[in-house]
Amino acid sequence: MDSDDTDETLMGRIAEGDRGAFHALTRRHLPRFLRVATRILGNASEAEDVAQEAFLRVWSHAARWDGGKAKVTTWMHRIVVNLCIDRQRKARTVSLDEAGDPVDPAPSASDDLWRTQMAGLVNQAVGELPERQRAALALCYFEEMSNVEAAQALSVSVSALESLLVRARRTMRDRLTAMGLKTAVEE
Amino acid sequence: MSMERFKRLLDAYGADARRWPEADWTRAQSLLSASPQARTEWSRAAALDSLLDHHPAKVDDGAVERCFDRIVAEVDRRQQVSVQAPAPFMTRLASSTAPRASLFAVVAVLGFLFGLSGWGEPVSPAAADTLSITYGGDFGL
Repeated sequence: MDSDDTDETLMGRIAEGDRGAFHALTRRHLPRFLRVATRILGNASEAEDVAQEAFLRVWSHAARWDGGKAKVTTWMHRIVVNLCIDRQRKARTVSLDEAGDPVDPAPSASDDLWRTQMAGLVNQAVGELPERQRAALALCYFEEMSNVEAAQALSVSVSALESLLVRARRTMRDRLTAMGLKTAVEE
Repeated sequence: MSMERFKRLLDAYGADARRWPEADWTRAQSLLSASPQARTEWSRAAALDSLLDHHPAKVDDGAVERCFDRIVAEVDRRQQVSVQAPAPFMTRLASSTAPRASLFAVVAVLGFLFGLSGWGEPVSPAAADTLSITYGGDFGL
């Protein structure tokens, strides 16, 4: 399989049952979608399950992809996001106790420890966002997708996407401030 | 660009120009250069960005390989199941051209032999008027 094949070319072959094309597309995009699922779900094991299911759907439903409507990656993002949101809605249990106490935001003797703690707090705050806000943040902020692509992946308008992002970031600011982290510059 | 719109875009996309819609960022730059309030709002968004950047999303290579292997194995398994699943006899027969042709040939030969056998010829007086054509030659059978 030619690694230079475009996603669109590979999808055409996958729709005809070409497993080599499927392997090539999976190799190309699995790390990215695993990362997106991890960001939305906050759980590596569940993210692997979602990524697996997403790619199996690509294999089974490749013929349904319409190149005139969305890029391959946008279509795949939509599958991953929907699977993540479904999974979260089925088992929505957020344990606030797991995050531990707020920490001193000042770097201590151990910067690594501080970064780990900081990551834990941010992860907790992201995990407490509603699913769609979390997905919007994952796609648009962390994965740096364009607003048009992210909106397509979430099946919303660009304006609705901006509203999701605004609410997500404002909530994050409030929560991180409540945790004792500095979210504003010195006046 | 109005300050209200600028603040909404900052709240949505943060302070990094890479995440902004290009046309909006171009318009925002003139506001940033002219307005101290805009610069303060921008710095505020940048501070939140720096915290969000701590969000962990490291996916190690082992997880990627493990997941890839699972996906490939599942596709292989599904293909084997679909190939090995025995189709009903008539479905297989109807879905294949070669057996259909064979069946047609067998029926044609049986029909021909049935005709030669004379079985089914009219034997009753009532059927005496029935015109029957039989071949009396030798087929070399």
